Amino acid sequence: MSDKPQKMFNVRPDIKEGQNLLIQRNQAYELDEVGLRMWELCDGNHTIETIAQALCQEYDIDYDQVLIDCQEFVADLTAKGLLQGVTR
Amino acid sequence: MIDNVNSRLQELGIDVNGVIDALSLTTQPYTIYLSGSLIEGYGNAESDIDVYVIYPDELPALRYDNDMQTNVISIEYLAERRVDIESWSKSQVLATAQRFRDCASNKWDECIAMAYNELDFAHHIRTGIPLLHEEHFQQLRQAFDFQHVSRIHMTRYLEWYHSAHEDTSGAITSQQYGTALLMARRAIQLAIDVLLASQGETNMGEKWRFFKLEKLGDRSLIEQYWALETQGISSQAAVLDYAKACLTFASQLVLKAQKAVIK
Repeated sequence: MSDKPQKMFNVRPDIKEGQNLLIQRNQAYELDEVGLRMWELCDGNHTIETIAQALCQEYDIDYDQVLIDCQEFVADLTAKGLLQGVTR
Repeated sequence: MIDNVNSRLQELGIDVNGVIDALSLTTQPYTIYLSGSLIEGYGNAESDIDVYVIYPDELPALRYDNDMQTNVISIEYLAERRVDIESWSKSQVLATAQRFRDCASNKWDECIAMAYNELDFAHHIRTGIPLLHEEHFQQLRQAFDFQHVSRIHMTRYLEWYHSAHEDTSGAITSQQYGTALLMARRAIQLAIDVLLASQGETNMGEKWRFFKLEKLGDRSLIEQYWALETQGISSQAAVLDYAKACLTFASQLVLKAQKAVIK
């Protein structure tokens, strides 16, 4: 798994009728609010740990749990081709 | 109000009597107001003056140089400044306001179908300053919900942005350098227009895009936009990296806009 995940260029977020979507070609993936924020922070500058730290502060949630969520999120979206890795 | 208008026009070097004379009115109007970039504070030495003349009933016989569907534009010159005179009847204005109210801002097809001259009119009455019968001007102005108008713009620009994003992605993947370059720039420009509309702007487009982005006050966005618009590109491979950077930035802008609207 990459240290600093980055969005794939061909994915665009769209908030439509209360749904947070990531759209890539003819596929749409729905995210919850925290997932969308995770997506935003995957900018090639943040590590998974710093993303988790940011989310802890913004949502007042437990770091250990959010770190696991972030790792799973990045792994899942990387497998789907929505995120790519950046090697340090 | 008229005193304020006069002092503002004096600052701009606009002679009110000269403007009124240029109208050569033969019928008493319902209201007259000025609008356009000079009034909004974006104009320059070459900017024209937009004068809107609203008639109480049908439009009288007018000399015109252009006829855009329902309204008539006459072009005059006043002290080397061009004066565009746009004439509407009160009923046309109210019908336009009704069409905006009937348009669902979350339905892209309805938003795309709004006519350019009506979108343009809504912006100009929003930013206009009355010269004659201010109470009538305010009455017409209140027939418009300008936040709704800006949402309609946002939906239009979002639709075009999504299309430009898709086209750019396809061009990058297929290594179509020219298309990737031009469509990536378009995606950013449309994304900025989405952002401006999310902040209540009702007149987008390249002419004043940079001014209006500056007015939002986010220096970081301005610097990123400027850097992408002025970046030197020395090879075909660099075009693709540039286009990817444009898409990433554009997505960031659109997300910011959509989140702002939800708030």
